[in-house]
Amino acid sequence: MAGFTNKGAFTILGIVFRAATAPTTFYLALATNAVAPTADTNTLSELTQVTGSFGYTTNGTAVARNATDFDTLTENDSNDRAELQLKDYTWTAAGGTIANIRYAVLTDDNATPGSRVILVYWDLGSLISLADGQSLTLQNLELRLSAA
Amino acid sequence: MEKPLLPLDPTKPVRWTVRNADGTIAQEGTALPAFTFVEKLNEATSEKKEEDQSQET
Repeated sequence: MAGFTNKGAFTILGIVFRAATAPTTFYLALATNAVAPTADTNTLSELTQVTGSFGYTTNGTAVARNATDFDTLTENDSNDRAELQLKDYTWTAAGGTIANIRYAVLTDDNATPGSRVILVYWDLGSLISLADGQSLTLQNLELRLSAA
Repeated sequence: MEKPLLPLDPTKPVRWTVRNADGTIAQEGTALPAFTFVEKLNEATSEKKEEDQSQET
């Protein structure tokens, strides 16, 4: 599955309607299949990140809070929802294997990486390993806000 | 570079592609978007009323 965590929805509503402080930067991190994120997942420390070597940086890649990194925002009246997509992100294995990639998660920028709130998570549906020289590109990571 | 082979699927807009060093595709897949629902206030109110009425009877 994929979705917003409860903590993520709480955080987003707080920012929009109660002027809570928004993250300056988000992070897109990769997690293994050891622990599946759910709506109840709160922080990055609750998941098992992909080992930070050979091209994957522990705690993820910075995602700026702007229209460059969140490059597509659509009001979809046909399906009664709004859609927000991230630009494409690519990781390339260099010098070894990046193993056991299953989930991508978007976090806030808490100074303590393990305490970063997981706002949104995506299940890639397969366990992916990148051999030396291979790359993984994630396209159209999408967030949908729907009227049920 | 080899273009993604999987057709676009509006229900699974997220696409991932593993490429070899020469750009050929080794593996690819699609995934669901992250979504949440905004509960309609009138429906929620309506359900609450029905629930209250059933408890009264």
